[in-house]
Amino acid sequence: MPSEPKVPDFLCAVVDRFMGPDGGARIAAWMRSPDLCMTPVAMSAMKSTRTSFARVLARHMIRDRWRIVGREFNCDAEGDGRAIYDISIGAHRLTYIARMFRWDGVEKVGRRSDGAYRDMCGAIFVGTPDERRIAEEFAVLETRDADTARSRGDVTGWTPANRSVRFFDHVVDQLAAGQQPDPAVIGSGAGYLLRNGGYLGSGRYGTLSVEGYPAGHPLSHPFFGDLFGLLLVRQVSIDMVEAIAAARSPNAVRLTPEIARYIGVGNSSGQGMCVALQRWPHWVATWMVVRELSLAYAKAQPVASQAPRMLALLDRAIDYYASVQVPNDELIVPHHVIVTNLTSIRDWVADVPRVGPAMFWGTLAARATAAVDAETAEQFHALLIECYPEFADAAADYLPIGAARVRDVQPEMPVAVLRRLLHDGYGWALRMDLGNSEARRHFWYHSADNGEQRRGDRGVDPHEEFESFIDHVGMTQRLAALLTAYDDDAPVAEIIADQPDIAYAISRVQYLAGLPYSEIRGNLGSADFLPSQLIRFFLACLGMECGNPLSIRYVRGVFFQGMRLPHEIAAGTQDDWALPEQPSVSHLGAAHPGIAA
Amino acid sequence: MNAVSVAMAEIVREGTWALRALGYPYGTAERAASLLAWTEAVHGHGLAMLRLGEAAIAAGAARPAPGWRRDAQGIRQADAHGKCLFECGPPALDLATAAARLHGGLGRAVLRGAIGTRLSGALGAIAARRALAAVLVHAPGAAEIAPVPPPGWICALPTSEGPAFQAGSLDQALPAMLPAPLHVAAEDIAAARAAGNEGFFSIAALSCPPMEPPPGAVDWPQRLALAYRTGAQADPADLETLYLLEMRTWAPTSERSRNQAGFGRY
Repeated sequence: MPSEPKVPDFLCAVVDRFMGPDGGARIAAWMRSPDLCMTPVAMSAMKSTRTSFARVLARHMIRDRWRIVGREFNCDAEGDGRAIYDISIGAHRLTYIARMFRWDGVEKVGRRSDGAYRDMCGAIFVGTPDERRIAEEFAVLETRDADTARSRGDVTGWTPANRSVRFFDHVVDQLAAGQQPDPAVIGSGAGYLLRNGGYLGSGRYGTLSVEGYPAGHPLSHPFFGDLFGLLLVRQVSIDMVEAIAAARSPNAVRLTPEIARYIGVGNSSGQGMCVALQRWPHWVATWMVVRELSLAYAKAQPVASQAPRMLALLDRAIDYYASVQVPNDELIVPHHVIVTNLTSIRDWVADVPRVGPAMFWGTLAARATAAVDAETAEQFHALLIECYPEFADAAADYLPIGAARVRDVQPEMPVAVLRRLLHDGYGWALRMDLGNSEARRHFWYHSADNGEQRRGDRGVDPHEEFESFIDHVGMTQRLAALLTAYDDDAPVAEIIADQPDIAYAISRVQYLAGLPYSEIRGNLGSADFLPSQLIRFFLACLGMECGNPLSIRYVRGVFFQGMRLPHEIAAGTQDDWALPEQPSVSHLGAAHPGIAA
Repeated sequence: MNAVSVAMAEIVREGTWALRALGYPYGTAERAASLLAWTEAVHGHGLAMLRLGEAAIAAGAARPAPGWRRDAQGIRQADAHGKCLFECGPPALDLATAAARLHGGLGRAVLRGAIGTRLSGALGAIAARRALAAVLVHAPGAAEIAPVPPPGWICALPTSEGPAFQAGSLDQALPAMLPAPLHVAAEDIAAARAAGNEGFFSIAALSCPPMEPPPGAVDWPQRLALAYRTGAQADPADLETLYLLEMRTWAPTSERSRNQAGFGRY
């Protein structure tokens, strides 16, 4: 009998706190098997939830009343300018500088191969640098040269971004004409004006390593640096369209708060994300166990406990999917289908009797899984998690703990024990037939175009010898074959002594052992695998909405659409902002107060 | 030289690829990259090893793995035949760790003819993180990568605050406060003195609960923490080498290649 994977102790304690001593058994009954939810197809359907990193960051920001104050914003009628923001988080200080470049008429995709050729780039400093240091960093950004650009350890990262031109221009033109932009136009472009193209931090170009943050620093949480950078790009986009409009016309107006909130920040991501997921499997395991546990908790609750809240959330989600358009619905469930199916689920929820024997959310979730498409079902799951925020927030506190899991070989482990771990956790991989040429068709490589990750065909494309690691199935099968050549009681150190590179496979199996959702159950090298599936999953875990594959290897979407504005964050407003309703033109208020000191 | 600040995460990330360029497979390179970063942060000249030792490291990588044997005392012995500790240091530590943990006693491994003895401290740090007290003895051979580090010993000790270290030359006695079984490493010091031009590296490791930080500990943990906060200070030529090596692993571009990252249904 395979040993049962175990929810980490931290999360067991959360379950006990919310459900009492028998909670573990009750919640386990609702947890999904990894065979169901860890395949690339299943992961592709997953949506941003309250446990996604952007939502967790937003909750921290609002709870701790982060203050984002504009110190300087200079920008001409063509968008050429620079900005400085001061950020206070309790006793911590950050400084953000942004260099916006004159529009050159070229819409930029935002690929890594573009290097530093972007429409804007910012840098986040830890602390408050002096004028000389700020000038030095501005000079680096000014070069727009990825080959020579270099930062230092007082910068957490750079935030390159490009204009989404049609929507950016629409907003500027309207404001310059003294009118508000049409929210429907903004929504038709997925709701953003600037689109981020990667976060160049965590050691890249000499920036601060994550381990280098002072203890307790608010950005030391996984992905908080990246996502706070994204949020600052969103702020720049709001300030930038207003500044350009003001430079063009004395009659220009500022955005109303409703529309400013409705503007998110775009992101485009490529195939490198698949490699990252394979490189950091304990990240995936952490995100999944937090998500699945939160979902299982919600499923174990009676419908009557949160039916009105769920109906309100469904209404909002239906409105959101009906109003936001994405450029390509070929590889996703079209929004109009999700709207139809969410409407059906809404009817089911409304029809559940409020008296009599309790129906559990899990019953409705099972009905949804059986009756509607996977994306609608996952959106319903996300709303379920939202209905029980206290549990989800407590579970999400595990995100930094799980991410800190350290991988090292346990060299004394007997071969028989490692063989058992393989049997228990990797049967799905050992059963795959890699002898079929289609099963090993693709490999990932870095290209000479600025190191951009690309996917080639084995035997056709060059540099296979330098492929990026994605083949955990092949790794597992190689390890299993090797183990047959050693005695049961031999320590695995003997295998490593003979074949040093197998240490990676051994340590991976060892450190993931016992985690409930530890590996992606799919073969990334097969002809059938679509990179966009895992890109969407990664981005949903980060908090992206509307993850839309523009091709099988490229995904765009929006972050922080609906997120509160700086003055609201500083006031500690409530954090129920995701999936915002499209503002109605007839109900717009006065201009937002801006962020000047 | 105007030093350039290099982030630790940058060394690990790019170093993995640089080491791939020198011939190591992924599993070896990703393990070695953390040794590289630790060494650059604490001792300096880690990245210089890639620049100045490129040919020697690559030649060693192409040779078969050392054949480990067990001597009459149970000590694991191997001839590295010029391989670098990037590759054969971690397996040596694994063998010593396994012996120490399985038998509740001492685990010992000796490598002769290895280069890269500058990495000894980084291997000691891994030992201490594994809750092992360890003595590592290192003496460079004639083929050692420049700048050649002096021979000596390193005591790596687990403490409640993380690894602590003491270090000395081969002429200095081991610290008296070491757990008694580890004083057997005096044999390794004698062997290192006698090794001549061969190059010598040894580990003696003992399972050990966290100790009090020893008096006279060297400041390596502080150097490491500083490097994480502000970056390691490296020779610009070494940083350039790191990236040039990485770029060797990049495939040439083409229209077909560009399509393999972009839009369209491929």
